[in-house]
Amino acid sequence: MRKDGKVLLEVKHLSVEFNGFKALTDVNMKIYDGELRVIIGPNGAGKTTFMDLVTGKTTPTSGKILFDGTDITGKQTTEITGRYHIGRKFQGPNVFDNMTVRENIEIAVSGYNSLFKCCFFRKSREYTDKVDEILRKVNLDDYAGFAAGDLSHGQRQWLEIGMVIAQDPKLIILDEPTAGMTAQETYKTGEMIKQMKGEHTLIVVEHDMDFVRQVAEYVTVLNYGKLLAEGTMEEIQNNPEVVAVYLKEDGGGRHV
Amino acid sequence: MAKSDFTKRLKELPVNRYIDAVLFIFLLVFPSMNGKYWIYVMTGIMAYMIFALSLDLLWGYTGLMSMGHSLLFGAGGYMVGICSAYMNGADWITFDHLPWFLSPLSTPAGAFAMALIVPGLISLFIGFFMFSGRIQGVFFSLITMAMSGVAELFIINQSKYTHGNSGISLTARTIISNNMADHMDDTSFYYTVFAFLVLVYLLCLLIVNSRLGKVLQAVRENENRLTFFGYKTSAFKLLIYMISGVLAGLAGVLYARTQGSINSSSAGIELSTVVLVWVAVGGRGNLTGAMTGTLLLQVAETLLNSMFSGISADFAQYWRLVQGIIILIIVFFIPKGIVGELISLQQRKRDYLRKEAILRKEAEDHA
Repeated sequence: MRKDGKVLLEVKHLSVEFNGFKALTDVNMKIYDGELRVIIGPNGAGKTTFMDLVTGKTTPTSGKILFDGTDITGKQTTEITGRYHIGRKFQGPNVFDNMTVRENIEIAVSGYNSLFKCCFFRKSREYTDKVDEILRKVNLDDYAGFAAGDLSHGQRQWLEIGMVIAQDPKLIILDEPTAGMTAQETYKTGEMIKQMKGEHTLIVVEHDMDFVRQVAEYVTVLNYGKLLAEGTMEEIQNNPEVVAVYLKEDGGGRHV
Repeated sequence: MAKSDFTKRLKELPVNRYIDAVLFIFLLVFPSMNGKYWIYVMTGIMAYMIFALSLDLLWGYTGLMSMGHSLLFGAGGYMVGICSAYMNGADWITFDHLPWFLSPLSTPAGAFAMALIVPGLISLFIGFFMFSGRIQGVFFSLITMAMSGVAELFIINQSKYTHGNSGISLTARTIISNNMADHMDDTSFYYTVFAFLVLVYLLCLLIVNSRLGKVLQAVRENENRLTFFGYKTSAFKLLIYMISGVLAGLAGVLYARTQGSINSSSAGIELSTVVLVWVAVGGRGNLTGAMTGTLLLQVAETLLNSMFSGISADFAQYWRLVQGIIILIIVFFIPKGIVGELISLQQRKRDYLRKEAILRKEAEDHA
């Protein structure tokens, strides 16, 4: 955690209402360059809404979103991904099924997406190396020749993460990256994310507390659309308010 | 080193590239083994193969199922048809000068160029409104089909230039000439069309293996996701529709030149549907399927037709029934098409071997 570092994403007094339902109320948050931030909270706490606001899928009722010093509040999704380089992995895989894993990554690699560039594209050494490296990062180098549709659910999620990395985003948002994964896959995903930290700035939204404990260094807790607490994993685990909310909402079975 | 690398790459080729090689060798030696009639039939089939390839780029690779592709085929054929009739002074021609927009048709070279440009412009025009209007899926199919129907009526109605229902007879077996003296014998014309087929095939291969081709496949797979990566999908779709249109126009020219005639049904819904069937039976999205499907069904059609005519004249029309049943059976039992099924068999076998190798490697790592 580099408190003194450059602020990459800053959210000021962010609120959003859907037909009178307050999904988020006055949220303030700062995310530093190179940080790995985990956002947790019970169902309906506003985690996904928060991501939607940052990526421009939803427009806030009030408040401001500053990315790298520029105001991106209310900008279009395509502009935010394309111009400001915020990459988001959605819940559930969303890949090109009948194409190979390698082709999926190649399509996602940034900087070659205009019609002209696609027509006169030649594979350079750097380009091939870059694709290879991404495949290694997401544990799919052995599967490069498989059709994406033939991968397991977990591998498809990794492929999706790889496709987000391929876009060279300044900020990567992972929305429940371990949803539907086996315990082993979840663990591998955790290691993958830990390795990405430092190279990329990451926001991870997650339910699975084992996973959060594995990767998190700094955690933000949302509850009923409000920011409940922020701190290191240790601080959060010892925060009586968080424990109360989380244990209650979680059915009392799990410990934070 | 270089040699072993080459053999390795040869082994990694999908099975359909071998089928392509066999197909082209077959077409290359075909004239030496057959008489005039079959050479003529096969020349027409090769022109249809180019047409099927142009549809495969659009439907098989990009997922745009055009149900009116013969509109572009017919436009190409009619350009050279009008030119030939005008230059040879066909008896139905009542005008002295071609209108300004058809003026390039006064020379055979101009007509050949127009036969490529006009279908390209038509597809550009249709595509621009469809893709910028975000018309997708079945609506694209229905609108293109309606266009093809309209084109057929338009040709019949504009009889001043198109000779209406009767169609146009034109100088056969030439490419850029309307002089009977220049026409080639059957075999040389066969090889001319063959050369065009090989060129078009190589062009298609180049396109589908380039990054452009991969993006087109991604359009077919998940267009919304692709938009998210910052691709302007409508531009890609427009480009491939145009390329496909130009190739369809070329096919139309070659077919008209083979037949020595062109009529309104060449632009109509029937041919549009038939070409879809060829591609579906052969298999979409691998080029080979489009060519083999056309070859098999067209040869079957020719054989069945003569067989049924041989039985009795009343019986002649029923060959279509038999062909229809064969097509239904193929589409029902192998929905991927003949070549598509072969490719997926090979893919499954390769995946199995690769998976085994990965598991073996992982087991070794653990040990």
